[in-house]
Amino acid sequence: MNSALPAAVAKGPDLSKARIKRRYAAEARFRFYGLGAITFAVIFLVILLGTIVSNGYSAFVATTIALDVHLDKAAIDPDGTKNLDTISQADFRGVVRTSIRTLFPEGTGRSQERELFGIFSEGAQYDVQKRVLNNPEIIGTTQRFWVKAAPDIDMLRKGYLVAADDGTARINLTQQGFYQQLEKNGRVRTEFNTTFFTAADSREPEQAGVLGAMVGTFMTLGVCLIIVLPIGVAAAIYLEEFAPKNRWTDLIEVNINNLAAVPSIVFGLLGLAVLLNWFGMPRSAPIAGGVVLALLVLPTIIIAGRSALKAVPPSIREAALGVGASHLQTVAHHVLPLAMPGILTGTIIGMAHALGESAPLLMIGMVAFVVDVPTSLTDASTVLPVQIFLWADAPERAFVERTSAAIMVLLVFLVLMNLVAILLRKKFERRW
Amino acid sequence: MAEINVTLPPRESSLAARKIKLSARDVGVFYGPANALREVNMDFEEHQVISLIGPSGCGKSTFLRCINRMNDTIPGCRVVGSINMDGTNIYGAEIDPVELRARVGMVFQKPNPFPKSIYDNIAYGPRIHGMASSKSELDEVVEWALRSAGLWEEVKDRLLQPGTGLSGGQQQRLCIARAIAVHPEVILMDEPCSALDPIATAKVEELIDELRQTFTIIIVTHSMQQAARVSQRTAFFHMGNLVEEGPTDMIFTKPKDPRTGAYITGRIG
Repeated sequence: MNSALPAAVAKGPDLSKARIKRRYAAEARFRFYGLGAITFAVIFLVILLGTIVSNGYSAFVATTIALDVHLDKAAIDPDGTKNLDTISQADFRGVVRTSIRTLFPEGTGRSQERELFGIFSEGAQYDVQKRVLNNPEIIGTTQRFWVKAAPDIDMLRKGYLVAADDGTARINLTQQGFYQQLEKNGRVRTEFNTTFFTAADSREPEQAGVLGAMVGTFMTLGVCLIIVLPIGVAAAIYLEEFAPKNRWTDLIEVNINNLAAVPSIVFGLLGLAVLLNWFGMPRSAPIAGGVVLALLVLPTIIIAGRSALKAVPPSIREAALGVGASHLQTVAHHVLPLAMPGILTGTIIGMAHALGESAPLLMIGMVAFVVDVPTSLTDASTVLPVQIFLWADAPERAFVERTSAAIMVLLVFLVLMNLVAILLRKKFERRW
Repeated sequence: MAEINVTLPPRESSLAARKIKLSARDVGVFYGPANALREVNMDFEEHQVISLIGPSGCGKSTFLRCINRMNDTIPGCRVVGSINMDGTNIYGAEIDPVELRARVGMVFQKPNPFPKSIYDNIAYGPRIHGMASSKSELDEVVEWALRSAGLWEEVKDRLLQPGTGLSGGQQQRLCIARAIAVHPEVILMDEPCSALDPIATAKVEELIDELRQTFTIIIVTHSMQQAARVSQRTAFFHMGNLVEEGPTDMIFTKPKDPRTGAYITGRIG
């Protein structure tokens, strides 16, 4: 021990009030900045979600108009055979139009009649046809149908459109007049828009739905998961646990990290060149989309898997090796189960990434306008983000709300997947 | 200790001339270019506790890990020389390190039970080595191992609870029971009490003395009192060399090498 203390030591710590106050002030400032940053982020999230919800919530309801349709036997089934082929050939358009005319028995002029027909959805005749085909017994009776209103009437009722006669509006005053009279008669109501969840895409907004895109998304993600989970986990285990550490494995590691950062459209080009042109996979099909997304997500899952394996304490490996477990037994019985929550979380986050991906799928043709719900992996289909992209591009006002509604559906899926990730992690998490 | 109410049958008469269980010849270890251990020549007799002492980084743990070829798992680690167990070189081509580790068990510095039930911790070794052919046989093995480790009375009512829920000392005895369960010939212990409180340490030390009847035990320790209490022979390592080896009382009372004396009296370390 030196006898003479250094000057700074002799002075001792500066415990003056001012200095301590400054230290507390710095801490308070820091907390304030942090709080500010979070508030900022929350405000933007609220604005974003608020915009989407306020734009989109109205797509979940639809305007319908009561129509008493006289299912004229002479028009639908003149021979009375109730043959389904004959019925499906019948002129339901005419049947519906006749019924529409009866709504205004005082009579309308020829030009006004066109306006009148225009307030009903083009799909009304198919609703009628479907019900008759399901139950031919009702031919000859008068049935009440709640048929969809035309999208512009729907928009008018929701307050998005204003009628005018000067050619600037999509609805003229004549149509508005018909609508108001129907409403006064209690023939107009707003009901839950089931079509949105039971139909695929359509040119007519009131007949368009997200089911096709949802099924396409499930199929694509299913293919992606089946490919990516075994390959990703096996690659992660091999690289982390078994591969020798040399220049080649370093090179592979660098390349995997690089692949994770490659723009997704490049994977789309790869899919187009290799999967479609070389392997001859069908265009726009979930199988091709799934493979492309698998390539996209694979590096993420390998990286997440490796870090989860790395996080398993070495003492567990030593314990297993110490009782004579082989290398593979050590990994399979002890390391992998402990790394599983991390691997699953990484996988689900990767899948959530794939769920929101649209660019690579555009390249392999999943941007096509598909009106049927896909039934197999090779059917043409689309996915939710691409559906959103397509609708965002459509000019009709009714597609604006459907775009936001589809975004809401996509967000619900994202939240659900993240929830599953959290639950799985909670369930499999082991503490030591 | 009263709760150890099981007698371990000795493998053979321990009073007769003791057999050499292990003999190390010119053992050296390299981590890459660094030579961590040089030319160790040493014999280990059966049914004895041999302690390896020395300052940190002297190579005693490295040497211990040579005996069950645990160093094989470290990339870049190379072992030269030979270690004969019952006359067979464990570094010979015909020896499988996985099989060897079933014959040479190991207990680590920090208690490291598997994050599984107490039962599964013990049963894991017997299961992977196909020792028990039925559930009841396995139950017997588990009870025997836990009794041998003096843990049975404390845990018999909660065998299906996680082993990680036990206290530190109980966890370490669980790890000893896990090593015993595959009935090895040699048990290596790498500072088994360094993470334990004095009472738990005393229990483990008593257990080590009991286990000597059945197994040959090699223990690395930083506590010279512990070496003096539990071991019959002691080896002193310094800077990668085996400095001196002999009966424990001789090492502690009449060390031949001045470095041993200096370490024991606390002048180097």
